[in-house]
Amino acid sequence: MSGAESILRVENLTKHFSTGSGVFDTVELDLSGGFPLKRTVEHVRAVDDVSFEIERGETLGLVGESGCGKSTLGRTILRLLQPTDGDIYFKGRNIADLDKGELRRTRKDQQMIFQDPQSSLNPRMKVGPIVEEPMKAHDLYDDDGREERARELLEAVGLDPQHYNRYPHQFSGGQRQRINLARALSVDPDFIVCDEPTSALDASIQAQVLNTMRELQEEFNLTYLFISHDLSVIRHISDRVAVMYLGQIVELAEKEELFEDPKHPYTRSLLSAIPVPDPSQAGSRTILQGDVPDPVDPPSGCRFRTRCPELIPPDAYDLGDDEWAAVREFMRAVRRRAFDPESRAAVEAEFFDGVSLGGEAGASSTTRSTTSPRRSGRKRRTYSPTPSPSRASAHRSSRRTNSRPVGRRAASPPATSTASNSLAGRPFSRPHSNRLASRSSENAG
Amino acid sequence: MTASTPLLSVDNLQTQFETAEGTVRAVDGISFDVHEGETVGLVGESGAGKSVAISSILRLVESPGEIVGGEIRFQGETLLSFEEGPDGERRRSPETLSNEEFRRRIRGREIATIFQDPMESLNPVFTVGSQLQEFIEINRELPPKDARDVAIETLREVDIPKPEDRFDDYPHEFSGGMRQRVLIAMAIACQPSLILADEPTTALDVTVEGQILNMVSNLQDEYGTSFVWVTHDLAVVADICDRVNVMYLGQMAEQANVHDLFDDTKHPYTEALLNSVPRPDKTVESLTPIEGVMPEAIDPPAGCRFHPRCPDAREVCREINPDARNVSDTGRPHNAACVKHDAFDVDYEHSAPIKSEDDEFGEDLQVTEGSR
Repeated sequence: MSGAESILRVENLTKHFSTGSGVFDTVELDLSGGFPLKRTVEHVRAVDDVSFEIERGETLGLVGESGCGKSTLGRTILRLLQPTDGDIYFKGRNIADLDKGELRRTRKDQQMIFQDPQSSLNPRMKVGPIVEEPMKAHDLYDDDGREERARELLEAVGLDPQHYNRYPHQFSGGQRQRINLARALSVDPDFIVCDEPTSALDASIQAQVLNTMRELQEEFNLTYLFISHDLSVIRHISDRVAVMYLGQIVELAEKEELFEDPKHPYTRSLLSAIPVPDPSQAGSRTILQGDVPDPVDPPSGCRFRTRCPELIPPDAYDLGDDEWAAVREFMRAVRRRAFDPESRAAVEAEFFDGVSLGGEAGASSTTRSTTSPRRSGRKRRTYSPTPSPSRASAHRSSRRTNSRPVGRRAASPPATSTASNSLAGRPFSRPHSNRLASRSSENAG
Repeated sequence: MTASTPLLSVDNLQTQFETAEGTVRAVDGISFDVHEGETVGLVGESGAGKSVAISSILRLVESPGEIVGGEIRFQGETLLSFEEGPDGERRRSPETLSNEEFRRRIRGREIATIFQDPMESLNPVFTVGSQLQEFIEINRELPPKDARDVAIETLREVDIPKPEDRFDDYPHEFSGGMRQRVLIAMAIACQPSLILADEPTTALDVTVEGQILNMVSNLQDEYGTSFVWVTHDLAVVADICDRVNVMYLGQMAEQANVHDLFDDTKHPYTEALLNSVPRPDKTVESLTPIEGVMPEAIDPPAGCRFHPRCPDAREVCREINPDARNVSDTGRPHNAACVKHDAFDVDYEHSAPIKSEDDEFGEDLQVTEGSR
């Protein structure tokens, strides 16, 4: 956009949530000596050190997978959530440390539209009063003036002004989202955070609402922060796009540049994952494997490194591109416990097809131990390069075995053994163990 | 269609719901075939009747809904058909499989299903493994221990990491994508010939959706299972389907091979739908939305059901409700329910175009009164 006047500047914004809801959740029994009770509080790092600017009149698209913190970021910017750290400059004022009264007054210039048009409208209120309520809260106009403005706004968002006296349930989803738009516009805001406003709508209705939002932006000179998981919608509506992964913005660029020449491997993976409505391009997807890591304990270093297809090989190993790709996929498959090793040949066929690796067995003295004390539905992984005298025992420390005797696990039959411990127990893992050890360098990097 | 008998053939299926306001014809005479090993898409907006069609095939329609007509044949066997009774009323014919027989032999064993919401389809108070094991015990008549082994093997098949450990976890301990994998495991556990998938990836993230789509196509290669894939997402259709059926308000609008549907669109509704979705692969300056909203199935418009929203509508469209006929000029069948094609011969050319009934407010004058 021209002018380059920023309406909102976010600096190092951070929002952490503490997990656990009660007193006892935070207390752990610790019998290792000293006072037997230990207080531990875990934090979900929903938004971590995020900085960006939004210029007046532009639409900044914010895209990411669910759980990446995009909604939290949107809410924290409006201070619907109290930021843990960082500054939010809105029109030059830092709203991160405004008191309640001042904050309330800035709300006149900032509004929000929510995802679910059903639950964000009071079913017992008529449409007119719904649209008038923000004006009442900010003491704008008198009764007649408010009604007149409500009718004007209903018309502006593409509804019939005569619908003033109807209830929300009498409208369809798209129409309800228009009511939400009218309500947000009633106090004449400069800046609107739109949190997945069209995700609940059908394709044809979504297009109608998106078009209306664009027209309104021109008419009322609005600035949008448009949050969505749908890259097609983001591409349609945004001027610039920010891509979020695990609480951080990994790439921010002009729309065309981001979609045509993405620089971050995550953006590239995301773009190649979306199906395109064109059958001639079918089947050309490359898909990120695995799940997004737990934001309670994000990977050290680059947060995307555990899934990154362009992970840089450690210097210590002299690997060609193909070799490194095979080793990387194998390491990640081991970590995800994604396969059950039947035989050396099967594993080689699956992961090292056409790639031959040299190297000596057992050259490394460090290896990684995966400890997951909880049940793995909300699995928390801690990666620590632990010096270990025997690789087998390190591998054996898989989930739920921490408090048990190691031998019990080792005695379990191969059929039910985990990928990693049977790897360690079988001779075929030997030639690769050297390569496996590079996991620790990956983890350290 | 090809010479071979289709795996599943649905002919003129009609399902309606009796409500206080009147009869809702949710599915009003749809016909389609599924051949062995292919993926058939069933596309439409919400309210088009896609899910009701799936439930009807599986006989999961509950009161006040009722299947009132049509014929369903599966592997040459009649699952459902109707005949005229002595008083002229329509009743199920004697060839129709009884509900019990259907439940015992077909549902789950031969025709399995995957629903949209994996949280609602799994029982939260039983472990994932026990639910899967129970399903296998009943449908494959295996003793519990063998069923457990099969269950674990199936979970591994759908890429659940460490299935023997996850077997005793509860559904809430799985992520959304994992739960959907469990449901897919349940569907493939009895190696059915046909899986009806009702928006299975709609609630998932793009990366997870991609993983699931890849997995499904791998499983299909392995087992040769046929799929009916219900979705509203044309991109998913383009990606995985071989043939596509587009539904509008309980009826078929267009049926074609996936390439023909996208490259040589014959029905204005499909065309409009394609123009209204934003594209991830190119910037579209302005979307062309379809005017208005889909009317309620309780009171469908006379004539062609799409004509009030159709850019090509003419006077004749008010009178004739076209069936989906073959309008192809290539060798491949391509059915479209639109009178603008010569196959209908209703003098569309000389009919006066309908002036848009919408005034400046478009959809928004049609308030959906009576909806709850």
